[in-house]
Amino acid sequence: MKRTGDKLLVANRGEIAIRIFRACREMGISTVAVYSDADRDSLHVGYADEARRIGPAPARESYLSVERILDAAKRSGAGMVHPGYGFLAENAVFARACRDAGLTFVGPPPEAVEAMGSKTESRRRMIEAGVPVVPGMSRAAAPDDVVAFGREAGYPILLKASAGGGGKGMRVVAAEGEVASAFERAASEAQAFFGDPAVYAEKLVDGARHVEVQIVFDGEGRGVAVGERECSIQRRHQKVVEECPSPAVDPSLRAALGAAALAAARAVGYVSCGTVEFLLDRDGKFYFLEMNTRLQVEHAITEEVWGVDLVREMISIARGEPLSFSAAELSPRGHAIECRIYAEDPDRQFAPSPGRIEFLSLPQGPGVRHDIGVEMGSVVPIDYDPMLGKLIATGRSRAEAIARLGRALSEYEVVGIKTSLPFFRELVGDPDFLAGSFDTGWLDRRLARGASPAPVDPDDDVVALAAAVLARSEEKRFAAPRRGRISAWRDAARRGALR
Amino acid sequence: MKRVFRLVRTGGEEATITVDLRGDAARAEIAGRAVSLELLPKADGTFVALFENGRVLRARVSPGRKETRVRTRGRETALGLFDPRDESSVSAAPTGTAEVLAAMPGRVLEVRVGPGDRVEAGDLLLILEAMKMQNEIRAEAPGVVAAIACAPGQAVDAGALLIRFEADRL
Repeated sequence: MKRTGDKLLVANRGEIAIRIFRACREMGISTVAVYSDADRDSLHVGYADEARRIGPAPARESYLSVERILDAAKRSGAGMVHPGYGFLAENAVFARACRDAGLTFVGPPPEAVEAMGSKTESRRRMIEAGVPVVPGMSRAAAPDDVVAFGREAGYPILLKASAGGGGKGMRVVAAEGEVASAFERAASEAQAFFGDPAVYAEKLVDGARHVEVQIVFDGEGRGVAVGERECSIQRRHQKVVEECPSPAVDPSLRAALGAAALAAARAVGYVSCGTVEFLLDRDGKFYFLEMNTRLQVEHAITEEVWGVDLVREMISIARGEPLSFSAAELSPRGHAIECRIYAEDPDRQFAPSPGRIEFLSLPQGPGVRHDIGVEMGSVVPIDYDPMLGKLIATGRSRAEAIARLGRALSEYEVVGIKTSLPFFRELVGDPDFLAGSFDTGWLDRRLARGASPAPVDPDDDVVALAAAVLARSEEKRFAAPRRGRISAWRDAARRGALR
Repeated sequence: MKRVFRLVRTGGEEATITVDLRGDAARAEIAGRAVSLELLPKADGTFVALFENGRVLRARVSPGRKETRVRTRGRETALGLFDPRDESSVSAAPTGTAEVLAAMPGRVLEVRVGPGDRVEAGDLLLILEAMKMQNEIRAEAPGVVAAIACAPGQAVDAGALLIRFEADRL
């Protein structure tokens, strides 16, 4: 089939596939979904104009298979490929294979992906470009080298996968005695996630915030920093809540962060949307952490505050068009907060909770945006990251955004699987959260304290309501005996619908 | 139709509740106090309750063997509300679990304890790989390990028994 630049294949699934399809539909670009056997009935497949099966459920044989994705692009005649985030998004081999196959890769050049993909190599390049970095080792190491570094730099230190990102293969080491076991775990995770067991160590910057800068570069070398995002609320190094702007960043710090981020991106010849992550210490000093050479999960909060469509921008830049805005044209408006809604059980240490979504009701009203990849009846498969989607609340001020977030969370209902929603409902009332006072270790410390309040008895009205519902369902059961096994929810919904 | 329920409060004290249901109207008596409400079922399985004093609650009520769960405005509360005729209902809230069950299907990577080991709350028991994550399964309460019911490398289903504690030591 003839290749066309008016057809884009998304090499991904879930909410991010739909987010990109939405931009395409607005731009008049036709869309191609890919799916594994676990996803044939998934929301993103039904949204696209075309869909191609790429293999069985395991990601290695489907969403991570360069060959199968290129084959799907060829069969569908798509001229562009967007990798989304995760899977092949930061894989230089894939970016290069797309280019070699005559496809437009909607993302940075493979050379930039490669340079930033190695944490040790990127540190070296940043030092050359004058971007501040955290004290650490400049190459992958053996446990003995880590011990030597720990003695020199002092504990705690952080073990990181050289090829890593997103907290995978990362371990805090508090003392020398822990090096051996932490090294083994980090290397094994690094091998499992990135196919590369190389691990290195950095000094742990205590009490630091994670602040990242959104940058966009076009093919002519014009770059703009589109503000920062505050991503310090993390559980075991995984972002949970993000906000824009950061409560810890004032206009002069914003300008300094933006300049450093642009220098970092320029140093690797970056084109497209990307994110430069920094650690911000208590004294307002910042250090380059890593660069994500892709669209971020949390890009939506930047879009809400800065009024730009980052996905649309990525696609038009990939087509050779210049940036559609300049730094001078941009001004932030208000505040946006994102919660990542996961199929995880907060009462069981956030254990994954796959299964079927029996009922789903999404909040509405002012300042509410959903980027979501599931619907009622969706089955959350065990094979992939269990994020259902993102809830984004926007307001004129941080306080208004939080109030809207709390209100939206009270409307949000998911039945059938456990989600992280109860955790967020508690979080929005936390005094530290309300004050904007937290660092990257804050959430883990809070969870370790077991901050959940003791259960309280509900008032008599609630008891009366519950008892009346029980009495009523008993009455109905006697009136109309059930046939076969139907889930209680569906049974209740059906009874309600029949009235 | 009149029905009687037993309520076990979080402190352990019990109360009797009678419910008189006539169509949509319900009158409940809880330890002598009367509450009147209209109960309107919705298509999504929830109920809107209109109370005599004007209060409104929209709730999803899910009965269970151990407790009845009530969800209002996204918040879920567990109620010790039982039908006294139901022999299988449990009278008191469980104080802790004597068993560690797999919360999801996965593969056991490592087992860090053995029979007879004394563990504290938060101690690492085993590592279960599921959904591409290595999940550290930790003790919820202090206890003594009675038996290990799984082995490294073993694939387990959701709900599979992994570790049993000596129940009386919990």
